[in-house]
Amino acid sequence: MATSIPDLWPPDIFTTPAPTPIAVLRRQGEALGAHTQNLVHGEVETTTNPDGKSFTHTLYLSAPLLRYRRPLLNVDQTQPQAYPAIVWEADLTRPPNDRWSREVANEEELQACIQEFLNEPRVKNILRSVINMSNDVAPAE
Amino acid sequence: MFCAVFWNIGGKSHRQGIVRLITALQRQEDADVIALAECSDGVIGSLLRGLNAPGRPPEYTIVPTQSRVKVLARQAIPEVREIEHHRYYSIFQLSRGKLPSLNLAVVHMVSLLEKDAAHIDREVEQFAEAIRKSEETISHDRTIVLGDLNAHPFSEGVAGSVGLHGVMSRRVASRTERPASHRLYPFFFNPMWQFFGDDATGPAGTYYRAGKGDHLAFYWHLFDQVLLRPSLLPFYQDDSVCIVTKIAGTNLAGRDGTPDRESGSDHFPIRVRVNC
Repeated sequence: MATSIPDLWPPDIFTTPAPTPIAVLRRQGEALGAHTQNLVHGEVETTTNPDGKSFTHTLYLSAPLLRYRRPLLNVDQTQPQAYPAIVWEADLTRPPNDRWSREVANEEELQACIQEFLNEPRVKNILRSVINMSNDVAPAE
Repeated sequence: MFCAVFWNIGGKSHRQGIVRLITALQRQEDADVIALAECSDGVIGSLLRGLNAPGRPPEYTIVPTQSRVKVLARQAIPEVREIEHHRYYSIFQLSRGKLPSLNLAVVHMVSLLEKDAAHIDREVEQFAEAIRKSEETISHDRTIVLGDLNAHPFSEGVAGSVGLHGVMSRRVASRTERPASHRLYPFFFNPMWQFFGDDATGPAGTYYRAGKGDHLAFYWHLFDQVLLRPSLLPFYQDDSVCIVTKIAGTNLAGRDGTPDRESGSDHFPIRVRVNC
């Protein structure tokens, strides 16, 4: 008679205690789409670093009518746990000889940090420009 | 249930009422994917505005393509990824969470006004080869072909073994493949054959061109086609494919029953539904 083999995975690994950086970034991508009727939106991609236990989540700024897709913001998850994490701007908005970057300890700090970044005048300039150009291709009635 | 519509809108601009019609077509058919040929960026953008209410979570997104076919997909489909492309076609892998993933090949083949039928047959064969390659890559053959092939269901490229190998009978298609010259070629089921002639439920084609003095003139053409692999036949019903002639009360046909460019386009839209 065949013996049944039990499931040995610890159950507490399947619960997510707080929104992860991916979830927070993805929400921002969707919110941008809601503001623009999806003419401009954000997409999140994750790359795994060679050590297999640290990750970089990238929020891309995407405007399909312009064939435009560029990295906007990165979050480095430097250990298997979601936090602390390092948030840093992509080259798209980076000023010469400088790079905006912050370390965050939890989800609340991550949200505050992303809000700070999105309100930087140089970031708003890029966003405004991409949104305006998309609106030019498909003007609102 | 998965539903897709295709329409060659004949280069109409968003000022000519086409956006309103496509938006209504989506609602009428509850389409998950909208594929459009001869469609400008302005139309696709305006369509996106029409489908996504301002300030609310968007329902549709533009799927960037490397081909000349424009595609919108329901945001709820977890992943729509272009895995093969050419100027004339895009082949997408649709990952649908717990539902079976699908392979959707949308096409707008080169026109008979630019190239002759033999050239188009060779292009359709290249398209068929790209589909077979994509099926190998994704390890399944739940493939739907949708679009304007600029070829008849009986054209060599569409019916021939090295082409799409589309047959008119579900029973034949369910044999899945057929040997020709000591090689095996997979079938497609081509439901468009049912629309030929006056006994069909709808018009005798999707596109109409008068004889203009040619010795051979079919008048009605079924250039816009849906083909399905036999693996999708369990999810296919008699009404799974249709030629759309009315959208929300607007008749797309003129008085003579042919596609009316004034009210819609010189092609009728087509729709496919599979219960999976």
